[in-house]
Amino acid sequence: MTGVTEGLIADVKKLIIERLKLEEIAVEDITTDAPLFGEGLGLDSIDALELVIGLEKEYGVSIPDAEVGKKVFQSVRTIAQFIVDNHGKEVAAADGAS
Amino acid sequence: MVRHNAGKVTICFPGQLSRVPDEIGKRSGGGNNLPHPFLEKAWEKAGFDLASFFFQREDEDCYLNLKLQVTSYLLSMVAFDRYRRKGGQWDFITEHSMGIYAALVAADAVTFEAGIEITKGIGLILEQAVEKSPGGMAAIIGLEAEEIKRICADVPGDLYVANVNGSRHFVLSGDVTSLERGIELSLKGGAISAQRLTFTTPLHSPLLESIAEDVRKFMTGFDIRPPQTPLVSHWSGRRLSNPDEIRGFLVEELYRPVDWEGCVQHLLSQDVTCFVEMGPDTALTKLIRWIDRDVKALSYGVHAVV
Repeated sequence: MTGVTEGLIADVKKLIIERLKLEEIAVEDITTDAPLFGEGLGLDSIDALELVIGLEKEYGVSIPDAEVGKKVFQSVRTIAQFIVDNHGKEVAAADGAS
Repeated sequence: MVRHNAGKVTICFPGQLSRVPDEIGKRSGGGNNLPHPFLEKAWEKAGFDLASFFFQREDEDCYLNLKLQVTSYLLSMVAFDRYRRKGGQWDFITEHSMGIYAALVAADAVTFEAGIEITKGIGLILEQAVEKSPGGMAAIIGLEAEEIKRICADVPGDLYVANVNGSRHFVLSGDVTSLERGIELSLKGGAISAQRLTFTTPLHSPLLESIAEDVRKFMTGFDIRPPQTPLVSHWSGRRLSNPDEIRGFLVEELYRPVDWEGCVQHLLSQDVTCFVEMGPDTALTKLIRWIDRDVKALSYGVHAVV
């Protein structure tokens, strides 16, 4: 795991909250390494598609299929790592520290 | 002077739950845990105890989908009753799939008692149809309409689009082999998710036309009144306004696809700015979020019912 900054982690959490309209959840309520689906935030496949669209819009990275999706959507950290690994176009802008 | 338009409210009744809610099914049965009058009536009228997820009659208790359907009806009805008692308002009522039974009660077209009898009776006809026409359903998320249509056409057996839930949310219905093939092709085609649902009947597909006559006969025994609130069906927003139309809808909806996206778009065109889902799930709320991110959609959940 390299290149993932705390700033990017926070931005991914914000993206989840905004995209899924989780009005009662704050960034600090989301645990970086907790599962996002089933347990944890309890997201489902409808939420997954929202996140796919959110990642495309914000970072220009696309999830091509369910297999990749399963790996990427394990936790906030795995999403952030995917953005870094795929050189998400907005990584630098979204994560002002880098 | 600018007229302030607060927008209209639609209450939405979801179809069958895909699983038993966590709080339910963990207690011993026998109608002993009935904190809401509707649940007591469910025990009296249908021999069903929600708290323990249990039918009194063994031959009925073996049908998982029948139990899920009655559970969905009851949880929606309890949510609606609480919403109404707390002064909740609505201008339209709509429904998805078999949410029609609870929606009819909310619209005052049938009584709660008739609603549970209709839910259970049609549920039993569906369970019996499994023997004649076994099949299932699968939710496909991520592909677009054209790709979905192509998959249905490419699979040699019976495979149909059963729900259009949004521009990239579909449910397929068909025989088991075709359904498995459809899931495989969807995943190959880049679907984010393609999963079997609990249904063992090919609901909302022409495969169920064979039970139409049985359902029609069954429905003759029920008194149906004109809805007291505009009741918008899941067929692109067609209004159900008289008893004969409702009877026909209850038969046809079993073998015709649900157009939830069309229904929501129609309601948006009628100045609806808030959708309230009646029940423990958030499936419709999330689908509405997908269809229009600006409109308010929330679920009026059922906590501590059992």
